[in-house]
Amino acid sequence: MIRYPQELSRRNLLKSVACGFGSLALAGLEHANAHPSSSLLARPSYFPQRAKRVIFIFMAGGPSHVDTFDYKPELFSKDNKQVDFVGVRTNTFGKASKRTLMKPLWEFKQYGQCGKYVSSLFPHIAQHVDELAFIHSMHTEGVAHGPSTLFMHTGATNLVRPSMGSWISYGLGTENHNLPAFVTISPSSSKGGPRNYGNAFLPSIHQGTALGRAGNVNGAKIRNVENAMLNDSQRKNRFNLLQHLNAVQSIGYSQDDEMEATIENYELAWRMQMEAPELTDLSKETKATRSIYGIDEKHTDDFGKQCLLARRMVERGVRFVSVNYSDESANPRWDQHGNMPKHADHAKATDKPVAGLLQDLKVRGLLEDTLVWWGGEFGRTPFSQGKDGRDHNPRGFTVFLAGGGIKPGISYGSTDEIGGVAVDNRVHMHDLHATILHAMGLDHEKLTYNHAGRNFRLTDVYGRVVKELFS
Amino acid sequence: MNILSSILLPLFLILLLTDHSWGNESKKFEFFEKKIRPILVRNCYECHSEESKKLKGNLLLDRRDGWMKGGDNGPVILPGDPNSSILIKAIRYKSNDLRMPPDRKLSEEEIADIENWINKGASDPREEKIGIAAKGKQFQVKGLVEGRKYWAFKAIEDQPLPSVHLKNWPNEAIDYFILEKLESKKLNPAIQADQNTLLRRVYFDLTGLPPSPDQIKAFVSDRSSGAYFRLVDKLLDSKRFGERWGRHWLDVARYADTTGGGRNNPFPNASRYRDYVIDSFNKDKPFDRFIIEQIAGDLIHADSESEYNENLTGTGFLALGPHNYELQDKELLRMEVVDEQLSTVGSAFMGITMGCARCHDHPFDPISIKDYYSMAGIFRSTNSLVPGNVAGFHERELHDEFSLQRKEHSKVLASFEKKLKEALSTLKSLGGEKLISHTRQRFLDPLSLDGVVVDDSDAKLSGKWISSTHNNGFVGLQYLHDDNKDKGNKSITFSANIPHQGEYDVQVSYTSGPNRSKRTPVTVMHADGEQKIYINQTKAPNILGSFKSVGKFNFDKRERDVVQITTEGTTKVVIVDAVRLVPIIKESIADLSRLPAVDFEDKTKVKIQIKNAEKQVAEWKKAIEEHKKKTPPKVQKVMSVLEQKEVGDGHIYLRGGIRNLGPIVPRGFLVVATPENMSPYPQIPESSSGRLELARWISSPQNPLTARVFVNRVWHHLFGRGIVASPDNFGEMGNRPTHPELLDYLARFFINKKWSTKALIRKIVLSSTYQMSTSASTYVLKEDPENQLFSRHNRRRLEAEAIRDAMLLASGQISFENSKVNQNRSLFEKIDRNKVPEIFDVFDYPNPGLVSGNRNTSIVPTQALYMMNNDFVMKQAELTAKKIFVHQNLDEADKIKLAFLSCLGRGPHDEEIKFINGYLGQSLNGKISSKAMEGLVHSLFACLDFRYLN
Repeated sequence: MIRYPQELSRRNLLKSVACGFGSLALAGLEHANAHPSSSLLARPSYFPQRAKRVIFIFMAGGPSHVDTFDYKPELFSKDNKQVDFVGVRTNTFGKASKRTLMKPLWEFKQYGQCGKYVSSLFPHIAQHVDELAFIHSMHTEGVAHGPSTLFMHTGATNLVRPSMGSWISYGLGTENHNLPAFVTISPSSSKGGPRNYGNAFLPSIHQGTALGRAGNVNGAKIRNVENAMLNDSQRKNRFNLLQHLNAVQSIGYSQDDEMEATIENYELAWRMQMEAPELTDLSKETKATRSIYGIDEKHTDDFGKQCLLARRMVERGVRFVSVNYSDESANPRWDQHGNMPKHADHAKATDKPVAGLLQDLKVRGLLEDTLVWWGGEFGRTPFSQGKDGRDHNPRGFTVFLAGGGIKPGISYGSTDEIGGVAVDNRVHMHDLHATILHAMGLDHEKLTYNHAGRNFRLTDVYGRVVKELFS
Repeated sequence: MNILSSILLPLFLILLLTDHSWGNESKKFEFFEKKIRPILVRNCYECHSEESKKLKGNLLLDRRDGWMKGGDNGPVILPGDPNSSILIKAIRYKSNDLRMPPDRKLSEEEIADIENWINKGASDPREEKIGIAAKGKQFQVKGLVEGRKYWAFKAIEDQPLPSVHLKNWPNEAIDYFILEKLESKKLNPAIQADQNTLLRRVYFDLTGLPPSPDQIKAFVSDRSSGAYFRLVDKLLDSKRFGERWGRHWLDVARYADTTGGGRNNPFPNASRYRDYVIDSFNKDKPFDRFIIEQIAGDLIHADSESEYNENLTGTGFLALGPHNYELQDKELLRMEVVDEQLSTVGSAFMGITMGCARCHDHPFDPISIKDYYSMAGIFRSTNSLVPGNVAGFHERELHDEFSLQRKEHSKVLASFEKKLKEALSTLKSLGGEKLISHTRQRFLDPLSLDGVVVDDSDAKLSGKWISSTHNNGFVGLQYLHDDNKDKGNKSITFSANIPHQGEYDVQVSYTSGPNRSKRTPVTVMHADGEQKIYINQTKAPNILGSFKSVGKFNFDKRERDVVQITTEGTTKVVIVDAVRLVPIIKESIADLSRLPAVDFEDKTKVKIQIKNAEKQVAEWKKAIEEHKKKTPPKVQKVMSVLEQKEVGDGHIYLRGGIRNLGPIVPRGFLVVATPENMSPYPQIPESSSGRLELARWISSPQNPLTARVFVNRVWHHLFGRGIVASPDNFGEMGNRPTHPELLDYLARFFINKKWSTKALIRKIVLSSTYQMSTSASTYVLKEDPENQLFSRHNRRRLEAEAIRDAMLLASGQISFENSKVNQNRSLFEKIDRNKVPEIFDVFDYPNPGLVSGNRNTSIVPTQALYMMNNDFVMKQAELTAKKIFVHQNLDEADKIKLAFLSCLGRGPHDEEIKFINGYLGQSLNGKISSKAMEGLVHSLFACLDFRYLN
């Protein structure tokens, strides 16, 4: 006789969802409509959710805001002028020194109903400006790529903290019990590497699952769902034997929830084996769909595939998907300290795929409750570095949001007249984090986890929800 | 004095202080009402009023008393002195640390109005006092008297044995404490675990490995009394013991082999600390001594070189933190390191969370911000950082028998090098170098050149560079060019070992030509930063026909990257050859232009002299080369710290802001954990950091926390839950001890046994409590569902290392002949903070950046997927099956039994056999095929009884 646990009590469930659940009481677990075999049960939010999922499109290296979306006419007229700029690096920290302004290298044009100025770098995204909300007054911590990238993902430059996706997974669980709640596509192994999608002290089920390597998403698969050494019947036989052994052994361990949860997890893993390969199989997509993402075109193929994968995931209920335009080099992709014209290559590789994703989400009705966040770890300086480069600028830069209850066709906040420093309606990275959690129906001050004797938050002791961004 | 004047006089004084003119007081308030109040209400009240959801910085701006008394930073407005007022500093947005309001700068008019208002005396009609409602929003640290009443800060007391009814159950003193609590709840302890279970338990607990089939046989067949006792002693003596318990400590020490974080640099010598920890547990080093070595091993007396080395290696504990060495604000970095060390020491040894008190008094525990900075002063007086754009950690040299030899060797080397230099300068004085350039030699020998020379052969290349000797005048054997391709993606970085601090002329060499780049970017990385210079490579270099100066820069004495040449922005061929740094000396002997001109007649004579000099040079070079072959072994280094050159008490950093200085506090200890008869502020010798004093205070038997915390850690590892369930946090937010008397009893026992870990563990594993079964009656499960009373043993998930090692042991991939160390054991895997090995990740290896005395044991599908499909598991199953088939004389039933013994430490149950026969029947009739055996072992590796310890 095979004894499979028929149902799990609520207490069992709590234990089965890894450990440390005690402090989640605030997430309103008593209302949880528990799926009996899930370790990531979907949980209700604190208040109504505008967005149910997030797609974060990470532009690694720091795209220049003044050359893309933050139009500064004065920067054109002040080309080659000297200005005082307060340094952020070690040797110039806090000291003002003379720098030479460099005008944007691309022309700007107005688009859409809202008349948003966008440079010629992003002709496809420009078609969607009426869907987007630009935040021009971003500022952040760290001045090197590593710390700032970690800060953007985890809210800390060097401390070990959970990634935003992990927090959201912890707060809301997943909508699909056969897939992870948090997936990152083609992440870089440098600049913080896996820590950018790590769960830190949160239960490990909330860790991001990495798919593919930086710069190459082809053939990416979720780990350990396939087994090249066994055929289907061998796999099935071994699985049956295993679960029989487990069933026998668990008779001696009646009332031990962990044992039941372990057995349940084998069942879940078996189902994941079935579902996961289909998830990453892009061959089922129509030619028309593939083409709007720029798949099969030389420059956009890889990033187009990443964006399409992101859509397939949110469609199947993955809660948080990161799409990484990154590589493994010391100077990440958008990092043009010299040779700003190279920005054109990166724009070319990402413009069509991102526009394609926006369009596809919209057509499928997913954009309504999927929040899209596009941005880098910081921006670039309005002054030149070398002949035609720009340095890092954590004091002022631009990101855009779309969907998920965000007010469309707006621009929020601003940098000074040359794009150097955020001055008006400043939005710190902590504020952006708070705002995104808010969109997900989570209160950034209440989504806490007790670790080492204190309650931790994504936003530490900071963060302001930018309510003006919501419609 | 009449009544009127007694009222008016104080009023007069107030007005005198605030304004010199009479009669316009209503006007002043009018200014406040018209201009200032609206600004405050609009921009500040959200966070700085009684109505605030959360009062920020303990600062109220909704009443005069609020800003006069001020927040954590003290008074924020000094009437009449806007420039010294913190409020003005904040709203001017000049400082990076304090900018208010946080989201937007006030308009220039608004700022001017507030300045004006303060300048005129800051008249403020809002007279409400700071009431209870507002006070309630402010933090207040728990008072000392109240704080000392908390259980963990009370002195450790001797505990009498409680009386019990079930007199024949207790084996050890421990059992009386456990039994008494059980009996008070009318519960019986669980029965003793069966032999196989107990054997597997004690093997894993003491060595991290399961018993082998032979070891099982030996133990089960030993019927003599004291078999278990002897086994325990044998396991405690085994080298595997230190590996198991050392690993537990490495969790607490947040051990790793890389820094982690954005740059993730390696710690090449961290493993010496790891091995030191293993050895310390194997030799049962007294734990108080272990503490002192890890905090102040560099400061204590050593009787021998090996003792010195051991002490120094221990300090790796302080150096191993996960620091962001590229943080650009170096003062902040210094404080981050101090904070990390302080938090780690607090949590690891004393179970207290110091980190909270960095910005404000601890909200739950009696730890004030003053306590924090008084201990931080000790770590600020400790030097943990090597300065630099990307800072570094200290590595210190171990002593060995070669130190004399090394000294002698380098002395001889120096004398040879001096001779070589003399020979070279003779050569130079004859115009050798000059002649070389005049005659346009084909190439320059780097050794013949002045200064620090780095040739392209020693540089770090990125991208494809083509070597060439086509044009003359290069340094060394070749020069490089970029083939004029893939512009912007190639670079070459030269690093140099700079012998002395000072100014150097930085020169680059190249071969010129018309197809060369006119603007080759050369970045010099020097002590003051970086600078990019462009050189025109179509023009012939002017120094020795090979070099061109790019400027004079300061350098510190150390090895570092000095020059980077890239192809970014270039359109023609970029040439890279060599770099040299010529020290700027006041009286330059290298100034070739001042050499006397050589006239024609003397040329032949000079040539002969040059020949001789060249011969000399060649001979000394050869001698040096020969001598270098006899270099003694390289000195070994360990991660460590030093005392700071300038030590002393430090400031409180208000709200944690490093430029936000509060009062200076004396260096010392946590007051609440210091016995009342002891001063928390020790006499610290001049030029000492106070680390040694801190280490002695922590390891003192009088410290109420240290022994309790450690015995609890040991209990936690043997039972799966500590007597205090939060081993790293004994504070208010942690758990309370379920058996406080037992905890004190064990702490006393531990101290009395000279802090012997082995004595403590022996005592626990010999107890009846430890030997209980994990199963219990339904009644007990109902009455003690969480096993708070230790009514039974806890079933535990094996740790990642134990799961991996158990598979490797079953498959024969690790074995321990001659009790040697086997580097295949999991604890010897390199730990990259950013990416730990997959199986570790899957099975809850702790975050190597944090103190972790209590690992998670999650149950997630990735574990199931790993066990079902991962190559490593598949491979170990295959090898284990092969190993079973080696025993050809076994019948099929015995093979199955051996598989069970190898994997689960027990034979198969009848029910299991039934299913296995079914499975094997599907595979093959009668004989078990190797594939079927693999499948069986694979399933055994994945099953409950493998992953869990009963």
